[in-house]
Amino acid sequence: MKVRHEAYSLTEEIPVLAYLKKRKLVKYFSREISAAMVCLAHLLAGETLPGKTPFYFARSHKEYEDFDLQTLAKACRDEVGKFSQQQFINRGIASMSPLIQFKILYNMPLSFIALEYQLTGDNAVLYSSAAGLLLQALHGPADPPLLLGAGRMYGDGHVEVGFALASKVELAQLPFPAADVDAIDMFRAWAQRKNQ
Amino acid sequence: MSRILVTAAGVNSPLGCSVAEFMNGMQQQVYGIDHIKNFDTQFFPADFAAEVHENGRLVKTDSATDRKALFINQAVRELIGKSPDFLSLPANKRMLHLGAGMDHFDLVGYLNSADAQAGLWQKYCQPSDLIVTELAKLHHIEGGSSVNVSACVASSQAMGLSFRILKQMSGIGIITGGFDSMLSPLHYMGFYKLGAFSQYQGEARHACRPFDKNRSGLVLGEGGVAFFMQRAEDRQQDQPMMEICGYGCSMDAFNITDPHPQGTYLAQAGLQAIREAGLAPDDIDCVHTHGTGTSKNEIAEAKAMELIFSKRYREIPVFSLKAQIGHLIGACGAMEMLGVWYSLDRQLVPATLNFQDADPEIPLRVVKNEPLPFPINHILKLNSGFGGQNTALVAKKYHE
Repeated sequence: MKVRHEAYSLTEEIPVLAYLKKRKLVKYFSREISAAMVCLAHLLAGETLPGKTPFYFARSHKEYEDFDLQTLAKACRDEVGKFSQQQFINRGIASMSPLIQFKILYNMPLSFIALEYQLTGDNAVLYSSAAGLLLQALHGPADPPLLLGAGRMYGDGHVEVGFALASKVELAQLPFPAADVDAIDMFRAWAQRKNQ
Repeated sequence: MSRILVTAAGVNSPLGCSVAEFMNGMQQQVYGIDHIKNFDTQFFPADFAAEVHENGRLVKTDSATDRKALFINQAVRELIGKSPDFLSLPANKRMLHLGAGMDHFDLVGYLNSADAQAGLWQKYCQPSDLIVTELAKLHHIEGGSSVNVSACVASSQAMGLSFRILKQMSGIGIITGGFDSMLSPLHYMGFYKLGAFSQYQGEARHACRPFDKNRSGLVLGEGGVAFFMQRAEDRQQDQPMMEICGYGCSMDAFNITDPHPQGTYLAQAGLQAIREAGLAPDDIDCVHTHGTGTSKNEIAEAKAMELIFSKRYREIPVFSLKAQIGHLIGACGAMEMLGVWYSLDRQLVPATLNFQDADPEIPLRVVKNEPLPFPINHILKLNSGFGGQNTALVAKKYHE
């Protein structure tokens, strides 16, 4: 089982361009997607993934916004500072970049990684839970290895990502997480155990 | 090999807020699409949507309410009321696997609060998994739960996971399905920016036109649907609705915004589901498609149909429910499985409403105007998601 866990502070540069074959895609990336791309590249270290590799990814609750909510908020207020539907349509929506949708849709990390690595196999995007992610992996197709990933944006803007390449047998031997464990916590714990 | 059954359901949908009302809406060919009425759209550039109605009346909520959470809460309650088998299971044998859409965000409440000045938006955001945690607590579901957020295939993937778990585990029961509502000002306009909305200029109810030559885009819908799934040998008092016998799942890895133009990987998912069901493509009697009403989806889906069914792809009857209920995004696959059950129960393929003029690029047998009755044993359900994820489920009419 290979595991990798990485974190970047809000101001830290994520060197995603160095690891991307489809460099034009970078304009669509949130910092979480960029960090995921780099972390996965480090995990694989040049190894090629078979196209049918099953791939499951878990998104955590978003605590930090990187989609210009404050710009939108400013544009939508009327003269007394309240929400104005007219301003929302005339100024607010116009202030939103169409690329924002790609940064906030939950399945985008999985989709961009699938695109970059040409993954066409079994897949799922789960919300936050480590147990949900593992259930998905343990009941998926038997073909080893499976690719698992997770990401989280914290309130202070730092981003944390983790990936593992493992067989179902290896995953089944690990302690099954409690229902309230966030997926990224599981990757962090796996990586710490590996480094000990 | 264990048989996996659906033995109860509950629903909140544009066609109604019970399974009986939904079925009646299917039979009466009710149009769920209209102009948005739950919030003011006076200045919106578009306002078509399929909002949830109960007994013909709009389910009205304020901006703080997460509509999709309300819908799944009520759908699960209806399901549990009809499932003595769920109630007889101990808590640790009950599971909950649902597909969902994006977190609810009360933009109006946020902007009208003092928190907006300080950028404290978090408490106006309701994560999609919150209601699932609450439902698990409320109904004593302690065997495990998950929330799939794979966009338009989220709920069909949740059903697929439930099917896979039941193939490997006996003595359990799973509530599965999906819930979503993008019908709030922020989500609606955010989706509008993607440029996929119907440009139809006529009556709202005709705005979503799956497979029609004059289709011009999708219309958003909303709702929540829940199914109770269990192994046939574990069934006690519940009445079987249908059998789920195959599931397939794939990714296009082609383009982030468009489906694979040859439908290659949607076909791969379809064939995988048919194989898992122990069937050949010729055993499939009809197909309930993803059928969004967008230009590219339908062409790709027709190509996938050709790859799955070879020459028969022009003959096999197909249907899309989205003309009636819109695109429910995170709930669409599961909601459309209720349409699959309608087909199996009534032994007919419904007419795809608003399908009038065939598109020469889509030589499919789309049932038009009136339902097509004939013996139906196996239905293939296809779904595709923005970003390139695909799913297929095979459902079978229940026989002892």
